[in-house]
Amino acid sequence: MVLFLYVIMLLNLNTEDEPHKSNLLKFAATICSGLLLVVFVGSLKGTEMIVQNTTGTGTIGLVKNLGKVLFTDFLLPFEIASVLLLAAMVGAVMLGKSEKTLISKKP
Amino acid sequence: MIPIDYYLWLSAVLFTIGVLGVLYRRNAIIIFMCIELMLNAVNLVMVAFSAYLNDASGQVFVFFIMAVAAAEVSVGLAILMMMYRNTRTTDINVLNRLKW
Amino acid sequence: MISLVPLLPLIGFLIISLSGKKLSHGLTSAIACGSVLISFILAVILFFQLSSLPVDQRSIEVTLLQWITAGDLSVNFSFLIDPLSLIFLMIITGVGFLIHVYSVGYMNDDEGFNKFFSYLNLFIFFMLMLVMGSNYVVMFVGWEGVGLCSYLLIGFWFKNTEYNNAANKAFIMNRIGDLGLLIGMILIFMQTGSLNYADVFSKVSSIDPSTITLITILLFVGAMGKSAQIPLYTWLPDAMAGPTPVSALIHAATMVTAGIYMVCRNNVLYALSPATLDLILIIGLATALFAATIALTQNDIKKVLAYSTVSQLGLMFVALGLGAFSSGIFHMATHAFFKALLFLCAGSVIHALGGEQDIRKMGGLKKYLPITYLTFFIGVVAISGIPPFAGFFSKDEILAEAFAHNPIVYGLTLIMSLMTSFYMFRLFFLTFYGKERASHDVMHHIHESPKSITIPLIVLAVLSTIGGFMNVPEILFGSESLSTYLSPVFAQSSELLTEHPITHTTEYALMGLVIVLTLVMIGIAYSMYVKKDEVPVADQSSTSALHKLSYNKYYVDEIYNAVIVKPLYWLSTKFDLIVERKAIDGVVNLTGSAVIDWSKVLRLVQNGSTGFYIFIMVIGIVLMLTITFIH
Repeated sequence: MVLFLYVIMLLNLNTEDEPHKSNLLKFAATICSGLLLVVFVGSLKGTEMIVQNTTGTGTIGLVKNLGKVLFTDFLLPFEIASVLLLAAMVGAVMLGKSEKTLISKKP
Repeated sequence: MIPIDYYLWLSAVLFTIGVLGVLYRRNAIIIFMCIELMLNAVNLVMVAFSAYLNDASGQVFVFFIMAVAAAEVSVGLAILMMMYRNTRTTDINVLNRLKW
Repeated sequence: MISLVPLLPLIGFLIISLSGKKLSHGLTSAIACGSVLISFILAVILFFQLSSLPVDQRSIEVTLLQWITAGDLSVNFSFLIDPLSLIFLMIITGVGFLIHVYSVGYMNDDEGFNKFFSYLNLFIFFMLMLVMGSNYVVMFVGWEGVGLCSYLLIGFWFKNTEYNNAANKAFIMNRIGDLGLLIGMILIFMQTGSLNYADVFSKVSSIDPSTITLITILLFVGAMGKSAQIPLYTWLPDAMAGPTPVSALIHAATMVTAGIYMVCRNNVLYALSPATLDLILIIGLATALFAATIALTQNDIKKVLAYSTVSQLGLMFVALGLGAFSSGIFHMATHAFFKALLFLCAGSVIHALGGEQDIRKMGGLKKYLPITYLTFFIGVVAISGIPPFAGFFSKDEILAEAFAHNPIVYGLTLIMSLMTSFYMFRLFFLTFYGKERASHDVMHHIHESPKSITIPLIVLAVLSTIGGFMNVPEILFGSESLSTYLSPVFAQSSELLTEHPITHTTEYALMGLVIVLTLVMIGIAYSMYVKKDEVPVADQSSTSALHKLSYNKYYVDEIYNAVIVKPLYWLSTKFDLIVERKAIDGVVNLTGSAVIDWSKVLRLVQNGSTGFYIFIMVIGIVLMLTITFIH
């Protein structure tokens, strides 16, 4: 969320009115979301029956146990996620440069 | 313990509100925030099930969702910055040149 | 070695046609004439080889390759050598060779020299396939092929539209006949399960008689088209548009005899259906008389000879209709000699006069063209049936058979013979005797033809003289060698046909009658055209109604045009306007414009607004979830 605040700060928006969408689209959007909700209701109808598995210890939320699972069973996705973050960072930096610096960087 | 369906109902409602926000709003930043909302609703479901069924893989998955969300937000906001530089506004309907 | 016989002309065709204009005239003529000559020598060698075998084994079948195997149908590419095919082989290659030599001189100045020889070789190849095939399919390949070559050669001078029309007419009429032949072949296959001659003829007794009659009628329809019988004969006179060697080879000696070959090959089938034999007799007789009456008044040298060919073919079919198959073959052989001779002489006259074909503009050529005059005389005498020339023996045999069968048939055949002698001598006298009616320029350039033209004429004249001795009948102390030679081929059918013997005195009397009447006709022609010097009138002047009817070929062409050709043209125009343009084009264009209209609607989805896209995404998610949860 901090990122958001930084970006809003950078954008330097004025207090102009945010433009509104047409009424038809709003109506259609309401219908769509309603449909989505109906689907969720339908799918969640039988979930009261799920029985809690109480045989476990209370250690499930600890970071130590999470770390153990992370570095043994899910090592590959972990490494790939780190590469993903690297790529995102590089991409963001490239996109974030102003055009003048980009043009002057070209030989 | 709280029965699990309370968590599920909550996250369903959160998700729907996120969808509503994406469809209603025209400001690009608000749309990004609603997408974050949808992602967090999913995180909630994951963690609830992980606690309920004593399975750690739910939390691992949340871990990865957060990593992806961070990456996506950074790149998305960078794109938004470029859009703002070119069009001086954050209205998403301005970018309609790719039509027939 | 047997397969070399048709192969050599084919190779000649390929070499000449693929080399185009690069070959010199000498090389082209050497290749073309050489290939046919070697084929002839091989045919003669085969003849002697076959004669050394005992009589009942004289039938060799050589299979080259397995051609069609589809379900029950199994057709091989194979050749059959037996007495019938050998006779035809020797005549085709022999007369063909002479005509090749003739063409070297005749077509010397033509720019399409190489093309002509390639077509001639191709024709010889197809004709050989026709007579050498051992099943109906190979025969049909040759049948169609000679029709094609006939088209190519008739329309040889293709820059003239009339000649092209004549070629088209020949080909189309041939095709109409071919349809009958094809349906007959299909029926044969359905009834006997095979298309091989040997198989079919051994299973003949298993087919019921009405089907055999139908099959033989259909096969005869094919012969009608190819051998120019009524009603499919009008292409032959128009085919005179081609060069004279073409007329000699194709329309006198070989292609038109394909129908005779086919009927003789299928003699068993025809012997089993007397109704068809009567039909053949009637049509042959009608054609012979009809064409002879037309030939009485024609003024173009080649047209007279063309109608004479039609008439003589009718006579051959009369022989076949009487069941006298070997007589028909004998007359075919002698006719090949003297008709080819007559056509080549006519060509020599035309060549000497620089292209003039109207006999009203000829006359008195006796002293300028001595060799042509002599050979033409021999040819005319042979066709009139004066002993001891070839035509006498063959015609007399047919006349005797006709008398034994039915005196009316004999009478009509006799009338046709007399008309033949009359118009042939009319032609002869008007061309070579009398005042010189040609223009001064033409007479100035007149010269006897070169050796390459006159030598074949001399050879054919010799053959016309001695050819009759192939089959001298018993009453004249001959040995009937040809009939004996061919008897194994016709053995099966001769058991089925009734013999009509006639006494020797009757035969002598008939012979004497024919000779006397023929001499009378010649005398009449002589007095009309030489003594009184009557010249046929020009086209526009008024003549008697009968003369007009005969001269205009009984208006048959005009009738065909009005009854058949014009309605077909009208029908095809209607089809073009309605079915072609509106229906078919409409459907195709409709498909195209339908695609365009749909895409006009669909492209509105891409309107570029991001909100719309997000909206559609949400709808898609909803749909997917719904479907997942319904399952």
